[in-house]
Amino acid sequence: MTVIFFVGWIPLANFLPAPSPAASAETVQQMFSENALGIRIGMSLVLIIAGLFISFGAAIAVQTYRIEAKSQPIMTFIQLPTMAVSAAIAVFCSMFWQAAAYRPDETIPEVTQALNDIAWFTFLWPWVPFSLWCVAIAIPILQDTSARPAFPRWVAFLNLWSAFLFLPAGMIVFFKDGPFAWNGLLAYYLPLFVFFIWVVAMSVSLFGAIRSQDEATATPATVG
Amino acid sequence: MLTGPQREGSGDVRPGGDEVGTAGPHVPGEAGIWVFVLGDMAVFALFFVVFAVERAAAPEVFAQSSAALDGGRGLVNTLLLLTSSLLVARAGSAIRAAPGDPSTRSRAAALLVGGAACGTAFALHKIPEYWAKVESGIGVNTNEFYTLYFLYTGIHLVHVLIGLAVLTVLWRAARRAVARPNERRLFESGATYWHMVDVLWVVLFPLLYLLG
Repeated sequence: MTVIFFVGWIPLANFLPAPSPAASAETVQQMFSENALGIRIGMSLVLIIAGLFISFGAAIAVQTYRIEAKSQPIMTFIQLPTMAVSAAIAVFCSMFWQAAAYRPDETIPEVTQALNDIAWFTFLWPWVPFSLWCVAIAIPILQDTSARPAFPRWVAFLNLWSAFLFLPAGMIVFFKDGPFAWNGLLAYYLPLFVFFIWVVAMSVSLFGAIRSQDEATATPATVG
Repeated sequence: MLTGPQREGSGDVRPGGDEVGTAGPHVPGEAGIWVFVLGDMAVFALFFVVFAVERAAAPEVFAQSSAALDGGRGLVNTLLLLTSSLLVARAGSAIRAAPGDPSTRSRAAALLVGGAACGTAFALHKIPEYWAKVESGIGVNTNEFYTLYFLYTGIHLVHVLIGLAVLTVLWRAARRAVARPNERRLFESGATYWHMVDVLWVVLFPLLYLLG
């Protein structure tokens, strides 16, 4: 997921560093006109991430479902729609960028700019579902009282830390420049960085969780 | 697998987790809370660097705007949080010293209420402070200083509000007649979070209010 995202994002779509929200409509249109093919291919790759979100999230949910098996799997139930929203975000932001890159020379610059705006907003602004996803992962981990817990407890705290740090992305609507604009250090680069730390940490700990699940289900069979 | 009697008060033994044996120092709380605290402090360090860079680019704006902040209110808030941390720390050490004694437990619960009251006062005291600025037409977009002022203190305020929820969890634990097995870890983790919130403010206050 990380590889696909960065290949689509950086060399193809050229969104790192991010274009400035303070740029004029003409500049924005020119950017889409010049890089139309790169954006089209890059965003097609981002679309694949929507599917990967779902399978990745389902694997995490299976593990927290295992933890919550004794009671009601409410946290697992919360995770499922939040990963659907995350997939939808990937679908819509890539689609809006595709729309912006579709006819960059045939329409007025303001239309291209508006499509670019809404794409960036879709990509960064909805921090709440992502943070809710992280909290819904953290809570079952902290409540896990089994002998061989699915996830180590520090993963819960990493999730809580990540949940906090998506919040600055919600500030982009107030700014066209500065650290809290959509190309800003604190609203773009920081949440993006935190997100990929989260993906790596969850992927690694997921392997551990699956392994502990295999061992838990294998034990009865080895009893003589 | 246990190598001998556990050290008194060394907390819980959790298979595959935070095992505290008979050797080695005791880490307050659990490893995870330190992942959170150090990660959060790293991010706030980044916030402070951003502040320094922006300030270097526009020193007069920062000096002027900082002088317009209500330093008295800031000082009151600092004292509120410091007092709050003191009360929470006292509650934690009381619980650790005599987890089984009912009068100690209720005293700890009262100390936690005091700590949470100070934290609540901090949060409520923000309202007139922000409102005074908003009423005079100053908002997040007024200049670079005010962007950082509102957003840094706002993000800190969210930490305070979450901290109040954490203190509530600790209070409920202290009010239980019988201590749960992981209680010490819970108290230490919760208190560590609250002290972090305090430390962040202790840096924010001079940075925003006094540096100008």
